[in-house]
Amino acid sequence: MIPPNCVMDSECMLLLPRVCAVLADPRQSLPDDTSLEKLLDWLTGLTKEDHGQALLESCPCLLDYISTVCLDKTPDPSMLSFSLKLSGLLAASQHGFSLLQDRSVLGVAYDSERWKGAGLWEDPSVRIGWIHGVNNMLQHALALHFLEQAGLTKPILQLQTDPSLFVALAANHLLAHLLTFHQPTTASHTTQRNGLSRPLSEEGELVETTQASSVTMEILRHLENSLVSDNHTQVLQGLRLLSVTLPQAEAALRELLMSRVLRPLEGLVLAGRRDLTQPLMDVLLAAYRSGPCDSRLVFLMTSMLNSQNSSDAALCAAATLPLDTCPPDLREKVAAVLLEPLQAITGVSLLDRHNDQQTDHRRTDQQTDQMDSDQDKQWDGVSSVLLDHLNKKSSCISLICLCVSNTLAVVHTESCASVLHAVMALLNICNGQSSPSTAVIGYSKAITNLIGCSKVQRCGLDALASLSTCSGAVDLVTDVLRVLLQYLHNPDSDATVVQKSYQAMLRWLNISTEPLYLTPLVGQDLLPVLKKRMCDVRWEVRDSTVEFLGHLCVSGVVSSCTITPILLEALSDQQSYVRASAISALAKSLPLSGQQGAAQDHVEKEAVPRVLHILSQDSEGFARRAVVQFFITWLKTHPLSSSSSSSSAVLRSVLSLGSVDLDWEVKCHTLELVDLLMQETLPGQLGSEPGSAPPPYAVSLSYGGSLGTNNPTHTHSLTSSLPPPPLTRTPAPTEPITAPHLGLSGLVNLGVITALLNGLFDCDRPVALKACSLLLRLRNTVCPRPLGQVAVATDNTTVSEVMFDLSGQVWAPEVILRLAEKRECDWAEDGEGVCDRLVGNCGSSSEACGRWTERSGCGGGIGVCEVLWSLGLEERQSVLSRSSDHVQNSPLSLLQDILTATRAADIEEVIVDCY
Amino acid sequence: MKLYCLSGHPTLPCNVLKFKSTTIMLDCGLDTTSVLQFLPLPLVHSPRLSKLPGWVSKDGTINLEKELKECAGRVFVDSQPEFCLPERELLDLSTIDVILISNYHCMMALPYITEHTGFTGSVYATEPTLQIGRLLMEELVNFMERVPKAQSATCWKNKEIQRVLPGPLKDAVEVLTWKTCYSIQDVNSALSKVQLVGYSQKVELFGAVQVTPLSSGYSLGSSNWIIQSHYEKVSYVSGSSLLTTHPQPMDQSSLKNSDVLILTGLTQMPTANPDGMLGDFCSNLAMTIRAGGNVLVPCYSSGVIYDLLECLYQFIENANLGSTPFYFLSPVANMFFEISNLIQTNKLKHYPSIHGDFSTDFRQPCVVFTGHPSLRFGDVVHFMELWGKSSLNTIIFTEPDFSYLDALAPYQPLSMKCVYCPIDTRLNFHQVSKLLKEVQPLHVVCPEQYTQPPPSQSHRSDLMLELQPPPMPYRRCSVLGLPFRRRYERIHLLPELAKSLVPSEIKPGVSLATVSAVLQSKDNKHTLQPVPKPLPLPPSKKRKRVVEEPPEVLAPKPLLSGSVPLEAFLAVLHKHGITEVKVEETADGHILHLQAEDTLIQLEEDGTHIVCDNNEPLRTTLRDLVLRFLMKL
Repeated sequence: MIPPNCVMDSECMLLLPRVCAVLADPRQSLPDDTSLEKLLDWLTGLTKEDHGQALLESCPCLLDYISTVCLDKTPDPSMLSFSLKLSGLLAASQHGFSLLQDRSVLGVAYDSERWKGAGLWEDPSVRIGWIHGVNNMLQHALALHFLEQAGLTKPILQLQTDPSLFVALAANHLLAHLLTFHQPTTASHTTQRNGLSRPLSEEGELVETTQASSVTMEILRHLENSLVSDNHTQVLQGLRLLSVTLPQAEAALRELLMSRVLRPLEGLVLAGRRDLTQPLMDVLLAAYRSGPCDSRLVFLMTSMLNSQNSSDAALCAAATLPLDTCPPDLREKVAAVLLEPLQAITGVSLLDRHNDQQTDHRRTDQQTDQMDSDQDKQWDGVSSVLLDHLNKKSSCISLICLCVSNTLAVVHTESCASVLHAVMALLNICNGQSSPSTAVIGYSKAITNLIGCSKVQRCGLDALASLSTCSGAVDLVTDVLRVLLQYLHNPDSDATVVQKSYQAMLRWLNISTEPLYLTPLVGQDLLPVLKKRMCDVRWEVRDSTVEFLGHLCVSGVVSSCTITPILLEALSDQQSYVRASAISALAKSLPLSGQQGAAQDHVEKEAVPRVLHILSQDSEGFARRAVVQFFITWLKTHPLSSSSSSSSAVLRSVLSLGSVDLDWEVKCHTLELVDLLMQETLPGQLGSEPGSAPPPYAVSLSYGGSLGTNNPTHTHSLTSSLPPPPLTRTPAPTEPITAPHLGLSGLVNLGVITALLNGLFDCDRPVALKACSLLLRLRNTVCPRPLGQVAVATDNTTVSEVMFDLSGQVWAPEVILRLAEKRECDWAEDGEGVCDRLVGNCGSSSEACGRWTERSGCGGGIGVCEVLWSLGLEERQSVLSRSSDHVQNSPLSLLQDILTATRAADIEEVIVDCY
Repeated sequence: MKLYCLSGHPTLPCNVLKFKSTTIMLDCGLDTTSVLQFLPLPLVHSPRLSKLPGWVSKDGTINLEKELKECAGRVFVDSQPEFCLPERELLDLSTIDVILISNYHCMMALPYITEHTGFTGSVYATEPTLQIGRLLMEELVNFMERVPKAQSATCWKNKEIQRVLPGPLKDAVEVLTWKTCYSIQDVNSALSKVQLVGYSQKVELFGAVQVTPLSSGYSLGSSNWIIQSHYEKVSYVSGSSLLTTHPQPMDQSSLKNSDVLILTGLTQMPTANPDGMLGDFCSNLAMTIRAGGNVLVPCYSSGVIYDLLECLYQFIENANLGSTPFYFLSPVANMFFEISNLIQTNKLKHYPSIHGDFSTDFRQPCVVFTGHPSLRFGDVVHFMELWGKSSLNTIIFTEPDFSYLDALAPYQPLSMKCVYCPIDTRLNFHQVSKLLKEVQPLHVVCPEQYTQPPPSQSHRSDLMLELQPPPMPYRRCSVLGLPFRRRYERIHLLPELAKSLVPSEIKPGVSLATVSAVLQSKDNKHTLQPVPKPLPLPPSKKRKRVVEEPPEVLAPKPLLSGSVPLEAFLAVLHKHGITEVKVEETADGHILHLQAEDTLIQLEEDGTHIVCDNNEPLRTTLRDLVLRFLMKL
């Protein structure tokens, strides 16, 4: 899709007339039919602002094109479809509409009889073009008037039951647009939005007060007839039109609609047609949401819930649930429909209690008696229907899943505990562990359908997880955890079921107010089964287990000392996903190391070399990505300021390995790590991302450790000027700001500059882009402008003296070349003196300048800032930020393609003689 | 047709089918669960076992110190272990014509049946069944004979004494039929009676019935059997599986159209899915090894172990267990083991016993597979004594035949971890109901255990057979009359006889002919031969010897068919001047009372009687009138 471009550039403007001419030429045929769609997309973008007024003024060729095609008697169907859509687009403004009318194009173009006569109407693309055209045009009163005059309503109504689904759908949307575009108004109408209102007044009353257009009335008549039609498609389309229109209808239209359709709807509901359940429910819900609550509407919805088919009833109930305002009786019915199957299967009493609560405060005794006896009569019939339904395996499973998934929305705070008991009982049944006492007589066949059914198990576990938010859930934590443990123990549990059990368990572990009280259960029951699951044959199970262990660390239910050894073991798992998850889980345990003391530190000492090994050796990208993420977390919890020299060495390794990884995501993550290091090393100086917190830690690098390839080449005594490293971070009111040159040389030491340049010259665009923006940020905040431009602060002199070594890097020649170009350029401007100063201790200035292009460096190193200024980062950034297909996707390219394609068709086929 | 049920064990069946004139034994499984009542037989002297206190009744009146020992609150018989044999009193075993074996687990009682009972028939089995069955028998004999017990305990079996014994011993059944293990000579002699058959091979038994083995998919060489005559078909389904790994897949279609299907050998672990159990086995094994413990897997040397090894082969690499040694100990070399990948890649090492090479190669932590799964004899006893005290070690039960709690009882107190992963690939109830829906037998006969949910899970109605008509249950010592009658027998016509027949059409497409012939029955085959002509008398010039007249062969009278229509008959009677006829309707037809003649005519569906005293002319007239309405052949 071409990005919408509101202004046409001059090149396109020049090409468009030629393109129009080519398209209008009936002898030309387009080889690629998507180009018309692309063209329309582009033009649609251009007309977005002003309905195409400007476009028409600048490109009159479009008008010529449309009239040529539409006045042609036998245009190409796809071309005609395009022209119809385009004409509608241009006629969306009154000005464009008048222009087209002046040329008498519209009347001809939208005369469906004409296209029928030409045999083109049979092509669905023409019909859909026609519909889109009308739809596009219908933005002003003139268009509506035209529609009325030209008698277009009739063909639209016919198209509503078109054999092509797309056409029928588009026609339905057009009809909805017509109804809602020019909505009728009532002279005196009040809407009662709260509670039940008076029943809708009869039609006669409304017609007097409503000024509805004749088009509206025609559609309404048609709609009314559709709903009582014998033709299934017609009924279905009528219902769909209603459900599309109602949400957009204002009060008057809604009332008009409802007065017309309520009776036919009643007929449809009472007929109990199964094939219409879903569309009918959509209409009723749309009607319910769109306006004041009406008793007849509620009656219809209740009738739907009384469906003989339990699945249908449950579907209706589930659809009704999300209604915010629901009359209490209806809500009660919904709850009954959804809870009844669950009660039947589990034997946990859900409905009686529920009804009792409702009746207590909502009904008088008399009403209650009446309703109870009615309910009793119904009950036997319904139960046997329900039983039949539950005895069939497929319907049983789908019904129970539907009911269970909606339990949370059904439960009232009071009945939460019983629903929770029912869900637990259901899960026990699915696991084959229900005790004989709870099995309900007559439902043993239904229960058989559920045993071992992982679909129901998953739904039940989801429900169990969501029910953890209920009030009173805390009292049942142990019971729920026992059920979940059974699932983890069961060797037959499907991998997805195990995963859901873990998710539910986490929710329940976290609601416990006193984790300590769960410790025995966790230690004696949970941990052993987790250890076993870590040896499961299925990697999916091992993976979920590792993830769960990671979450356990965070939740604090288990001390991470017991978990980390298991995670360390998982680092050598055969499956890369498991290794990756283990690394992520270990990362989660890192923030706790401070609290857990020496034991955890020991574990960490073990973990770090192993994950580093994975970064350097693992053949799978997932694991390596996780390693870099691990170190991001590690750095967040172990600021360089508080850690030893070995930490710096570790980070150096991560950067050098991660920035040259084969996987682009590993490289991107490495750059995130770089970003973090930069923020930490140069706090307060580096403008962090807008909205992000200021860098949390002051830096104090220790340089005592062995230095890698990024040895600083200048010999200033760095350590002497630094304050002693703080052991723990104390949140000072004012963050200390490190001298920029110290920070920069710290970054050089860590290999940050090398990693950034690795990224900048990477062939993966996202990597290069990220590196580029990081380098820009670094340059703009730390490095002085090159000499000769702006006078800079004094300590920038030291910053510019920070050097780094680029020997052995693949990008070294390019950097040197850029540097030389830059230098020559500057030299030409400022003379030899500048070169002298820049090269610094590289030896004699003139010699050095002459040798730049041949030599790989100055023996020792190159100034960081100088390199950064020489790379043309801004230019690089703008190139990188464009997507790789930006040229191919431009409108210009599209126009050229159309021209070339047609020109190629002109040229006679070249016959190549192969012999 | 009768079925005699000699074993009540659903997976170790022993039934006898009397069908036509044959007596066929279907399997002869040996119930070895009785050995759980005995003390283990240690390979090396066990101070623990030898120091166990003897049992004396509480009041001190019964002293069986020598025979019974107490261990951790339970009483065990200190004697050579004994097995519970199939019932031998229900019918004379010497009358059995053939024994059909379905798989190697179901033939372990064979020597008890074929030896010392007067059995003279043959045994039919497939070749793998015979080979592996021999190995299992030899292994059993070896386990028993290498640790002989001096004494044998018999007093405890006294009914009066057994009644006062504690615990499971009191409830042990048929203790008097329990026997010690057979000898290797018995095994050899019994197996020499086996005739090998191949799948779908038809074997004629005395011309009366035909038996055919079909692949059952459970183990190598395992088979179901079809026993059929020309008009009846009985299927015997025993130990079948749809989860085939090593054996041939189960042949289901040949079981269709059976009159009776005898169903035995369903899974003993209906709630344990074999895949889940295999996974559990592997994870428990890996967990123990990672923690530095040893794993002991008591198992038979054939069967589930193939699947275990196959699965382990995949798993060892994944779980980083490559360096852990895996040992398999069995006194008999198993040629089928050689096909296992683990043996080929040298990951699993086979030793005949803990003595010899094994003791020098043994490294820990390791995984040991060895028998016997009852933990009462075999090398496993040694490892139980060796590893039982450490909680690092794990014993993983995979064979479903023995309750693991009972198996472990004489080793209590035990620190070793116990994991129960019973793997039984035989048909479960879900699979069997699908199978029966497809093959649609008229009647199903099965052990009574399959007609109700397991006692421990009485709510699981999915763990029983629900059929229409309900299956016929049997238990030990049941004699079932199978619910169908034989109606037809095939008879051959000799060509010369056939030539002489003159069929006449009585209905379109239906022709009849009368046959006079001699029926000859031999080897359960029936033939109609032409009636031999009387031999011409030998010419004799000498004194004419009074020879017995050959039986006069009369020309057969024509056969009549058709019925006498009442109205027409009355009209004819009227024509012949018999007018006073009282017609009385009976259950089968009519009685005509000719009052003037004092005569009765009974017209019934299959007969007409004229009761007419002392008036022969009238009787003849009436007879002729009746005959007018009938057709002659």
